[in-house]
Amino acid sequence: MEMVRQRMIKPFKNEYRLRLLITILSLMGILSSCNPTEISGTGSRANILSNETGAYDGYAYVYADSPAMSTSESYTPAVVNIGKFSTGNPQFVTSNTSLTGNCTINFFFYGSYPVTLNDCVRSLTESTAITPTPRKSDRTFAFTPGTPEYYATNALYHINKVKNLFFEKLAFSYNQIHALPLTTPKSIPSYLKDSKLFWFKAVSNTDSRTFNSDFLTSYADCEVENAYFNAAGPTLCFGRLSAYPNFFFVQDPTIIYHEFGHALVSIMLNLRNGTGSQYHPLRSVMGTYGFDEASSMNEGIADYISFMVNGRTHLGEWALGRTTKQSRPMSESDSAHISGISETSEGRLSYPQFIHYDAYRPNTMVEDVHLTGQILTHYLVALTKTFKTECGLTSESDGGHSLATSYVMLLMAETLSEIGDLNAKGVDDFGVPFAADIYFNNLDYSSSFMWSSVVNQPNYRRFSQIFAKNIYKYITGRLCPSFDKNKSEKLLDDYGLLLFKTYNNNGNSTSNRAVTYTNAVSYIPTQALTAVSESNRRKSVLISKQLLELATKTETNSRPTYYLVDSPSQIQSVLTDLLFKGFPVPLSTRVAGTEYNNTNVKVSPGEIVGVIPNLLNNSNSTMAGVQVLATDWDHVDITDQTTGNFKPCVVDTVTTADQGGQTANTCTTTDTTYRRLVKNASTGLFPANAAAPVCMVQLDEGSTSRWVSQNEFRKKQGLSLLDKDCLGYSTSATSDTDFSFNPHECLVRFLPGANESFFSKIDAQKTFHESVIAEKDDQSFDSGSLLLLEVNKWIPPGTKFRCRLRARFSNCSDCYTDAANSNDDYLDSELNGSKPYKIINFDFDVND
Amino acid sequence: MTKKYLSLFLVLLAIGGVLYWLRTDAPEVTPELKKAAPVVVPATINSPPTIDGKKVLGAEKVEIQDLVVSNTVSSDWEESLEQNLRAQGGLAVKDISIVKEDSFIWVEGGVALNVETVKITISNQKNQKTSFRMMVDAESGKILKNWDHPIIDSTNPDDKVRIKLDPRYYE
Repeated sequence: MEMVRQRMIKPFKNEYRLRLLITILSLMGILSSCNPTEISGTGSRANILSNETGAYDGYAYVYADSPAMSTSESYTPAVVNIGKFSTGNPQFVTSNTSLTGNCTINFFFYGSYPVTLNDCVRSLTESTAITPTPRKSDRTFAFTPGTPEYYATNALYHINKVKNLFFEKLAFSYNQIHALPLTTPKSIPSYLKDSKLFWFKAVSNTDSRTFNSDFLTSYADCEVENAYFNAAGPTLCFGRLSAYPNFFFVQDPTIIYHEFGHALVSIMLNLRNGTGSQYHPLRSVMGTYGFDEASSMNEGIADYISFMVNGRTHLGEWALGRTTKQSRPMSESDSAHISGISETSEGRLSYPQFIHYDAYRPNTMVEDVHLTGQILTHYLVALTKTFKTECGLTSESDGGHSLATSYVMLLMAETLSEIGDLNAKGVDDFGVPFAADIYFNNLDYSSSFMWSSVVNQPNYRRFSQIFAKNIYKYITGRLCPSFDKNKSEKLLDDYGLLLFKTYNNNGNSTSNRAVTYTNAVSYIPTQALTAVSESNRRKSVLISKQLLELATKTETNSRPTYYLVDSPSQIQSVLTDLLFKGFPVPLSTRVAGTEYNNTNVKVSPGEIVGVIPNLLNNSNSTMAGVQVLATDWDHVDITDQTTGNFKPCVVDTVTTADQGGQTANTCTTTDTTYRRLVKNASTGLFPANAAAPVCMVQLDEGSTSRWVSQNEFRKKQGLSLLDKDCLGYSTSATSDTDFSFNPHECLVRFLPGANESFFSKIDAQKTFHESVIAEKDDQSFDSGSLLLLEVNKWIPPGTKFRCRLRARFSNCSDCYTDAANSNDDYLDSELNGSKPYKIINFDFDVND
Repeated sequence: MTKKYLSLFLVLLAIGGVLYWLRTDAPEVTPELKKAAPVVVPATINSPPTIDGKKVLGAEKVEIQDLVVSNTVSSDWEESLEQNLRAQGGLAVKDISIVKEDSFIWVEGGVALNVETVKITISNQKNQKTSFRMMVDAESGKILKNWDHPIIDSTNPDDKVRIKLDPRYYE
């Protein structure tokens, strides 16, 4: 007895430690008594939890990761026993009484501001379900594995996981940024705590109903063969694949993180678009209907969100990998990569070389936004890894992952909120948007949506520049000075993303270079323009816009200047696809439509024609991210305000003064606002200076001919075309007049919403077709490469048109910066004109 | 004595360490930044101007007295909009739902229009739905802007509508 006592006492020299041990042992005893029972023989966890004490209220068995992470390659989605992958211990899902989650974020702005939105997530079983499943009578969510309720529970568990992590990081970003002096210009607004735009929350007051619902709805089992995020819900939808009846996308948590990542992009883009009392009526988007870099970056960021949650540099091992071999690596160290790709400067997955890179099909050429997005994800993961080492974070218990990803998310939130700023102010004054009528982002309040989503939509150049500016300001300047400007530029260059010459950080307004932040907010001092160190630019090749041109037929090649698509079924299929992707276009159904399409690969009256300019890269390097705009721009001198008729400005050697061109008057300046060439209802006059439609028409006058407005042509050519017979004209029972009608696009026009095209890359000395399309058996183009031209059925055959399109590309040396202003970026208002662009003249005749 | 003081110092150090460990999660703010704390004005902004009770948006400075709204509100807009959407979607469209979300006067480029913002939900013949938002002319239903479109992640990158080149271009 004595010996025993001694043995017991000796190891525990103080009573506290003894009590602690006893407490721990008792707790272990209690917990072990609560262990779930297993159904024998199936390998599945039961739906039974012993919860008499209430300790497991809101708990459930969940799968922590996808089946791919604990099975061999031979375990395929053909047969899935999902219960086998549930965690041994139940996990907390929600404290709510049904499958809903809450949003809580703790802002610190000279005091603590915790904000909670209850039931901000609702997890439903299937797309027809309306109410979230309530918890079971035992107050748990331990549903039978494989049932719809089980998947909805798992969806909520993983959504809560990524959501809570995001709020931690957004709070970190907000708190860090707003701890800086007021003199530092910042993008994430301090009124985020009031606006609640850290979530889909702008509907509580009747003044602004941006969303019907202030909650995100997740459907664990949608009847679609994909997964998607829809901001209009907002909803997350996880489908299935008919080839694998037991497979569901929701079985793979990385897919949940990825789709939720799209929701986060939408949130971060719109952080500045409301104040708590007022909201912009629109919401920013990132990406259009076809291939473009904005969409690819959206995908890349969504992939990074998965890495942020689980620290793993691979996405979709189960849902994409075991089904169609489409899982995606996120780091060069991933074994999925082909040889030659490595974490060295030379081996990085760089732009534009790897735009079409598919690790599993390296020899195929697929324009896919997910594949292109890998470049951004690899950069972001490399940056995270660098932060861990450069900023001394490796000693953290998690190796620095949490803090390093917080740094990246700070940069991301600052960058995206600037890109998506629709209020267009850019900075704030003592916690509110400043009062002065000055704008720093996206031109101005009413044109900001068009600027941020079309005219100046984010490409790799725009994103990299703003992101680098924020690294310089917040990481180098505050959080981690050892990650200096050179290191930042070198890493960007390793990825071919050092595509800019300055950081554009001097804070000048969108319409006047002399007006800066100081003019709007007096305590923000003048900001110096920071230049990139040119010695850091080794892999990022910049090319002059003059080397981009339309192809022409020569003796040695048979390159067409442009491709026309006028098959009625193909064009209708494109129109339908656009609609179901959320891109409606205003059709002129009375005077044009696919019923007139005749498949003669010519432009005929009444048709809707797909136009693909055959762009040629005349340089010796690859051009990438080529955007062609057919939107209205300031390229005319309005000669008569009663008709709006004009003379085209001489902007190149193609349209000359002899052909009716103008070199003086308003042609010497660019309009600082975006104004369409439509009649003012109060004055009955057209504006003296405006953005005009791109297409002009040739008017023959005896022995001479000149390019004129379509309005002038229809009057002078003796066409008895009334306004109502024009393209784009709408009337109602109330009025015969349409004041948003532009008579200068009466005969032909590029359809609003389908008047921008995108080309992933063009190899040196080749056309886009030769670079990307020619290899394909069916010689098919992505819908994003197509411009849709409406042709009025009343046009006389033989009429000649010239459309002045504008093109620029991401790795362009002279499309973004003004050499005359120390390589400062062109002002947003200068995107109204010709300077940043290469003019692409699309000439055609209308023929039957 | 020295040992006693040393012990006392170590105990105090340990208590300090525990207190530091238990500190609340305040953001890392440098002393220099803390000094900059200003008197913060609460986020209040003037309400937008209104015409006949309808808010006017789209321009920061709107001179209401000079503003002539170019259209009138008509009950026809919804029907015209649906016709346009059906024309674009063709036979693939089964049902269209138009839910009005807001009405206001939108000023852009000197033109003021009565507009509606709407949420559109369209189903195809397989009852698969898509939805997005639009701003439309409140008289004619003309589409002015659209946003909040779905981002669809397919497992097959080739599974999308592509435009085949007419063989006359390459044969």
